[in-house]
Amino acid sequence: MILDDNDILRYSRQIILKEVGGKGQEKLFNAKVLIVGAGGLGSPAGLYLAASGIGTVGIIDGDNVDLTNLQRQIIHFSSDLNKAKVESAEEKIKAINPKINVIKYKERLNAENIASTIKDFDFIIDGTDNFPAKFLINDACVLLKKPFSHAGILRFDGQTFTHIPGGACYRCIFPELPPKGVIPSCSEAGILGPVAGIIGSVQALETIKFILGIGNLLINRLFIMNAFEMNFRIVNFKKNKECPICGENPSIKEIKEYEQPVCELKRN
Amino acid sequence: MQTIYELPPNLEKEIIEYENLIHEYENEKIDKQKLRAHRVPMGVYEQRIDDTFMVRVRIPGGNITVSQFKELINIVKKYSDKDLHITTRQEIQLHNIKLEDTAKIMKELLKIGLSTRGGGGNTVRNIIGSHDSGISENEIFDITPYVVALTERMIQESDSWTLPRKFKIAFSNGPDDTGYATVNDLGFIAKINEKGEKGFAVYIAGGMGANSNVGIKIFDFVSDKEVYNIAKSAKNLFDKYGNRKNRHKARLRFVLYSLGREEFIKKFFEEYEKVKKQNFNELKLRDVQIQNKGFIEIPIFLGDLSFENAEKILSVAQRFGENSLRFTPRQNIIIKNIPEKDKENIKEELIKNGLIKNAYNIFLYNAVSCAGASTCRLGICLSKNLLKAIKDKFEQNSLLLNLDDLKINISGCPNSCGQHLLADIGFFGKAKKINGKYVPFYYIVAGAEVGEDKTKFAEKIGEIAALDIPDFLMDFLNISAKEKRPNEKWSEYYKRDGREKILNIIKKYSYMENFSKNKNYYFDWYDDKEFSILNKIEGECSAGLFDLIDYDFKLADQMISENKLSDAVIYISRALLITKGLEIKNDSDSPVLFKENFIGKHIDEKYANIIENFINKKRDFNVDEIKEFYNEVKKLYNQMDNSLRFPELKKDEKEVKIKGEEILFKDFRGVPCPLNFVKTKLVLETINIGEKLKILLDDGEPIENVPASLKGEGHKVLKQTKIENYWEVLIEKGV
Ligand code: SF4
Ligand SMILES: [Zn+2]
Repeated sequence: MILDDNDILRYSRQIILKEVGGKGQEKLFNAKVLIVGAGGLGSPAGLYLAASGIGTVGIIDGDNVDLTNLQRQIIHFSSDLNKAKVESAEEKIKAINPKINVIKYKERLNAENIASTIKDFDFIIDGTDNFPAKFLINDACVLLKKPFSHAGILRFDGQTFTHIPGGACYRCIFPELPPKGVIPSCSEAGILGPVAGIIGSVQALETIKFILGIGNLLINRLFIMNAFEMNFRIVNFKKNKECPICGENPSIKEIKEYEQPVCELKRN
Repeated sequence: MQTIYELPPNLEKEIIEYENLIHEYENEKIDKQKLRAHRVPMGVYEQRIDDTFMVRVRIPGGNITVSQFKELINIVKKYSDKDLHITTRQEIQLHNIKLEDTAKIMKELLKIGLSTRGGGGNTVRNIIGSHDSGISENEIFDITPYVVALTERMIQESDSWTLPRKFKIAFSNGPDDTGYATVNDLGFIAKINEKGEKGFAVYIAGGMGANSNVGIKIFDFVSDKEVYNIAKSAKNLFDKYGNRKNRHKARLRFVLYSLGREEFIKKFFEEYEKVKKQNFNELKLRDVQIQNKGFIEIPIFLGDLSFENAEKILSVAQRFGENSLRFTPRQNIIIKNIPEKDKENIKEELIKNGLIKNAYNIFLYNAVSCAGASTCRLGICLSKNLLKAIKDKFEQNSLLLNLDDLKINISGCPNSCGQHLLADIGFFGKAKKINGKYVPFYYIVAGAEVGEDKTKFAEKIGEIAALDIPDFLMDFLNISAKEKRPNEKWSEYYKRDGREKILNIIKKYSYMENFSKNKNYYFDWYDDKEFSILNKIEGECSAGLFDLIDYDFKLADQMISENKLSDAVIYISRALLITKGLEIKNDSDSPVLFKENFIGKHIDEKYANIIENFINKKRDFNVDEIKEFYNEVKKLYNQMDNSLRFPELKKDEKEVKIKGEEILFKDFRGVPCPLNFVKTKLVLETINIGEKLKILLDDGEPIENVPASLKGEGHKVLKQTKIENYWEVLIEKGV
């Protein structure tokens, strides 16, 4: 990519960083990032990635914008009600940065489509709100050797880490899906918008650092936030030898969806 | 409160913003033009008498609940002393409102589920529907649920308020097209296909007024599930291709004229395919089933409804449930859901109340007239007064049977607000010079036909003085009452015999000597001042950005011709600032803002001189220089694209590679911090470690910051030398 005068102006505040420069900007422009879920996490992540000049942003989401989404899913506006989320997200991304190439998938990620969907992307952001999807993304990315950012949010709490091939994975901490009732369902739990905003922004940051190849990523480190106490901490964890997918004797060898009670409400 | 349509969530905020603007205007922080640009799309127009306003309330298909109507009457009573007015788009208009009250009214309407948003300006206007939808015995199906659901969706979408011009949608419940779908920007006519499925024939780009057009049919039948997608696509098409620069050529039909039919249809379907892919939710149709098909139409002369009559009507309608009221496109009121057995009693009651008469010429009450010159700033003749004169004439005389379905329409000027193009017999105003003085005159039009695959506008067949029209009409209708066959349509009668008759009668009224004998010809109806076409100033049907810009150019032009050159500089530089969203508190700020935002970017540097002179109060401008400046800026305006962007000046290549020398050279003078650093950095990325680069930097901040920052990144600054007022810096790339 040749940076034209407007690009130079637009990205000047990051090009100016020694760790970015024109070369870094070019890396960002050549990168392809997939966001799974244009919801609470995917909204800030998508907006920041677009603003930073990530050349290709994929978005997969099967839902339409609903009034209950607007409290935290800041990529969607009141005027987007009933519109497909992927459309609404694309419009906003294009509005911030018309040069971004947006690839839309108006569908839910499932065991059948995941491999072909993620295959061309350099990095995946998990912005889903349910366990089956999170396990599905973990399994597929581990098996297909794709780096991804995991995240979860609930009430005032948020957590995220980054997986790269060879690093610890989600199942290293949680080998199986939690049984019903252990984790409250979305309808009971609730969430404050900025919690999603912070965690989604951390995901965007990890993505950008990964693409630039700079700094320390949240590899084998779980970032945990409690917004109520305003407490941020890092918990180190290791690759688990017993991990059913990335351990020494993996039992999971194919991509499959695992059952778990799905939230009654709309996906976030 | 039971309501008809759901209001968008951000309406309250918009009303508050509007209210704030009124305050700013009253404190002289913003000018009249700026307020107007916001006021009109909120459905508030200025009346012909300065500082009084008219507010238009959105009432989809004319449907309002009984409790809403009750509250509405109370609200109007509080703020106005004037009758309610029913429009031909089935809205309610309030008159003689004070500016500060307009916002208060909006807030009160909000509480009862009504909105004025989109009552004017370049917006999606009130969606209209057939007067007898849901109650007609022979309709295809009730279109009211579609009118309401589409309204809800359209008023939720912010792009509905920023279109190139107004956008009108209509629905008809059958092939007679009583909702005028064939002559709106977008129209739907109810249809059932062979499989028994509901759907519509769809017409697009119709409209009356200048360069009128019968809509073109884009679907002969399309499923009712597609209504939203089609409306959205038509709106997108209009938004994309509509002419935002010339409001007189802005309506959707002008897109059709400029693209040509084939290309227009192609472009429509491109949009339609895109919209379909977006998987919008279907319209949420809510069926308002009423038990009884019985209804009574109460004629409201000219749509002017007194509080007293409104309350009488309300007290009757209340007995038939919430959904028993509708305003019609012919400006009457229908009370519906009346059980057959009660109908006669109710009629009697209405007669006793004076709301309807035992026997009367109903066509006088169905007749439509625009506001005309009494309140419309574009008007030439007093069209409403003419209709009153016609009514007076007929009511002195006896009853004409067989004419109930006659449609008379009158417009005060060639703009077809009185819908004269749809008339069986109609008139539109003009001024004719006779014996050196102007006489109020009308063109006669007749023979319109409306219906699916049939719509044809009325044709112009003659002209006549305003004074003679009631007599002329009496002559003609006396003949038609006898000669028109029962059940014969007016358009058929017109072709068979009516046309000839009209042409004959006109002859009787065209003797020139009449004019010198009777000075009444020089007065318009019920007006005590002699007719004149002075003071007929531009109206404000679509105030907006372009009006404001044109207005500034007009002022600038005028200033130049009066040789007030420094004022001209103010207006020339102010004209385009609005496109960049720049607010000006003082007129004299505009040259400065113009310089910052346009000169060097879109306008040649050489005009900076003019602005400098202005700022330094050296006001010895020369006319030719200002004229040239004016033309340059106007030229730029003409190059503006639909997204209000201007072409950029080509920057001179400032990079020079000095031959014979191995080192790269860049001139970064005039490039501000930190951009000069960023650009230097980018150049350094293209050369190898140890290689050199020479740059030029401005004195001051640039020379203080850039070399230091470069060192911070590991490069070596070998030498920096001051030359006049700039610096030459030699750099060696580091690791
Ligand atoms: S037809 Fe002419 S006079 Fe009548 S309202 Fe329209 S613009 Fe005004
Ligand atoms: Zn693992």
